[in-house]
Parts: sequence; C-alpha cells; structure tokens
Amino acid sequence: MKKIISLILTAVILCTLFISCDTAKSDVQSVKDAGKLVVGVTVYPPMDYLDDNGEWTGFDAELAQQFAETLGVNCQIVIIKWDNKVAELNSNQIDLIWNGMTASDELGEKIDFSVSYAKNAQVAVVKKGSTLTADGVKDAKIAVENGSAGATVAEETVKGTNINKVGAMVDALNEVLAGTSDVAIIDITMAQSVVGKGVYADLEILDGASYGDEIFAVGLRKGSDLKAELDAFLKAKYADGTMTALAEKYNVGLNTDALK
Amino acid sequence: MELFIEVFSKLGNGFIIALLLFALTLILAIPLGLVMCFCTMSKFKPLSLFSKLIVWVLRGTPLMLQVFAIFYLPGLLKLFVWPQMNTGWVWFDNTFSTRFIAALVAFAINYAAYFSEIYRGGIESIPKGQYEAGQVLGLTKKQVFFKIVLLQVIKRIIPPMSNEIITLIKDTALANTIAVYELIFEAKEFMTVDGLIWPLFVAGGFYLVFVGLLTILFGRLEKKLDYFKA
Repeated sequence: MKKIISLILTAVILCTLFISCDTAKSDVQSVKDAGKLVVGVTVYPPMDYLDDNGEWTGFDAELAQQFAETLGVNCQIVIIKWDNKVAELNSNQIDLIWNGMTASDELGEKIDFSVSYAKNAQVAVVKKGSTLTADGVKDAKIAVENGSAGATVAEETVKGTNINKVGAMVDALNEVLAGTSDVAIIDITMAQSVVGKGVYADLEILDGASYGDEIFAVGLRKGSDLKAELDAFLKAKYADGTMTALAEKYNVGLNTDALK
Repeated sequence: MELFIEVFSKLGNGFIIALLLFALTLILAIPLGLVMCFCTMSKFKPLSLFSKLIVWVLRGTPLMLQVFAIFYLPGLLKLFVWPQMNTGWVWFDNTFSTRFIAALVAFAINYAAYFSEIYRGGIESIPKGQYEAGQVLGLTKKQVFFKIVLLQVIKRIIPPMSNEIITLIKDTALANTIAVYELIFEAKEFMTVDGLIWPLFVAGGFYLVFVGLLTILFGRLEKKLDYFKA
C-alpha cells in the first residue's frame, strides 16, 4: 500500500515537470481574445509617467492608449524592470515595450522594432557649479541605467573608467544629487524634461557632452504580426498631425523621415 | 504633510501586499513542507532521492533566481502563461496579479524545502525508545506518531521555525525583482520618481515593527508549550 502511494507521488511530481500546452497563436489574435493590450513601461517622463490622479500619461502612454483603441481593446500599462524587458516580452507577460526605447542593433537581435517615431541622443548631467568639463567625463564617476543606451555610450564612446550601473535613469540622477557619482549619462529627452526643475533643480546638462544619434522605437516579439498594424498606426498618426501635436506638448523630437 | 500622507498610504498598500504574500506563503508552505519531509524520509528509495534532489536545488540556489525562473521560464519555454485573475473586482484582480501568483508559488516551494528539513530534524530528534514503548503498549505506528511524537516535535521546531518565518517577511522584498508592487517596490518608486530616500527607511520601520510583533508572539507560544519540559 505504502509503496503504491509512493509510486503515485513520484509519478505526479514527474508529470508536473512536463506539463505543456500550446501557446502558438498570432499576437494580434491573442491580444483581441484577451481584450487588452499589455504595454510594459518604466516611469520615464516625458514618455510614460503618472499624473496627479495616478493615471498614466506622456507621449508614449497617450499613443499606446490610442493604438489599443484602434485595435478595439483596453490598454493596460504595467511597470516592468527595465533589465528584464526582453524576458517580459518573450514570456508573453507584455505585448509591447513602449517606453522611449532606443533601437540598438544589439537589442534588435532579440526583439523586433516598429518604425522609429522619435530621435534621441545621450547627454551628461552634473550638479550645478560642477567644475567637470566634457573632456573630464571619462575619468569621473559615471552613473548610468543598466542596459540603457546611456550605459553603452559610457562604455564604448566615453570609455569611462568608473561606471556605476543603477536600476533606472532617475536613479542615475539621484546618484549625482547624492554625490555618490559625479555625472549621469541619460537620454536628452528625459534630461530636458526633468533637469533643473523640482527635486532636480540643482542639476544641469553639461555643455558639449552630447553623444550619438539614436532613434526611439516600440519593441515587439520577434516575428510578431502586431508590427504591421503598429507601423500603419504610427504613420497614420503622423500624417493626420496627432503626433506632431503630442511632440510639441511633451517636447519630443520626431523622427520625421521614418514616419513619412 | 500631504506628502507624508501619500508616502504612508502607498507604503501601507505595499505592506498589505507583503503581508498577503507572507501569510499565503505560510499557509501553503507549512503543509507542503510536511509532504516534502515525508517524501525525503520515505523508505522508497527513488522517492526519497528525488525529493532530496529537489530540496538540494531549492536550498542551493538564490530565491531571487527562483522567483525570476518561475515567472519568466514557463512563457519563454512556451509551456504556459500564468493565468490572469478576471473576477471584475479591480482590487482583487490587481492584487493577485500574475506577478503576485508567480512570486507566491516560488516562495511557497522554497520555504517548504527549508521547513521540510526543520520537520525532519524535529521528528528524528525523538528518541527511538518512545516508539518502542508505544509499540509495547499496543499502539499502532499512526497512533504513536500523532499521540506521542507530534506534539513534542511541534515544541522542538518552534525556535527554528520562528527564525525562518521572520526571514520570510523580509524575503518578500525579493518579489520586487518581477515588479510585484510590495513594500520595497513602492518605497523605491518614491526614490526613482520623486528623488526621496526617506520612504525607504520608513519601509524598514514597517518590517521592524512587524518582526517585533512576531517575536512577542513566538515568545508566548514557546512559554505556552513549556509544560512539555523533557
């Protein structure tokens, strides 16, 4: 009797290890079936942030909500850990990454990009009154967001010797505020939106320290059929002037060549 | 003042998530640990070897890695996607999100592995003579275990269990690696969004007070079982 129970228990444990079911459905179909488009973001003004009522707003958030509307589904915006963005996408936890994401070649090997909708560059942010110059950034303590374009710039363009990789771009700014780092390398879009205001009033963008030309795109799973719908949507929103109006509202530089 | 209220209400929400994760993990892990313990102690070799292997892996790898693997691997390997609650009751659906469920499963399995070893230690610490005495008195093996051994085991395992349980409430912070909105996650959001560091220390205070309460509770429990002095 005991042996039989033991055998059954062993069998059950082994079986649970091999459960598998079919998830091979087209993205557009599964989004429509679920009735919602799940968009992964981080808090990143002016692209995605919460307004005073706790509602998502920003250049990307508004576009994402409009895109969900055209699909006839709800838009669910969830905060993810930026380090895990590829895993979030590939494990079907989210459908899109729409968070002012720099479309780098490296990332392009793992996920697909929509047509690029905005332009970006990296800038260095220092404390007001800092004696640091653009040439000195190389030897300073640099704070960057782990896995971001700023981190690549710090390593490959600036060739920094002392790089602190933190969890988010705002963390990089906090490092500079707290004095634990001398300079933060972050997106110009975000720097223009927050530096010199509010809690970041004591920071400024370093003159002459601007690196690289980058483009922003929405991230999709490899081979996702959402790409065709999304590209058509982005181009249509540019053509009817909606995106230009949003770009002025949030101070974002559109990638007009790609959107034509 | 307004900021103070905002910080406390957000941290309060995070603490509720942490407490739910804590309580549900215990509810699942305490019996699951007993099952694992019996599997490990089974005389049927394949079962005991297999469960020893599982306990080894669960105790031998970081909990953070296990949380990560349990949340992302099923989707990455195209096995299944964690089901989303859909009761229409917004608070319930948001609280028991796929992220929360995955974290709960990881925590329950991990803690069950630790508990199973504590149980094993407790059961094996009972002298063999007691089993023999029970047999002489004509009790069945089942009766000996439930009527003589179990209560003594409970008394003996309370100190190591309280240790693990106190560790658990602080380990709930690891759920923030998959963006569960628990206490540390909420406190860190103040850091990233508003540049405030002090909410993180307030969050520390929440844990400290709760662990204080647990300590008093376990102290009383130990006293209550004191009449068992061997």
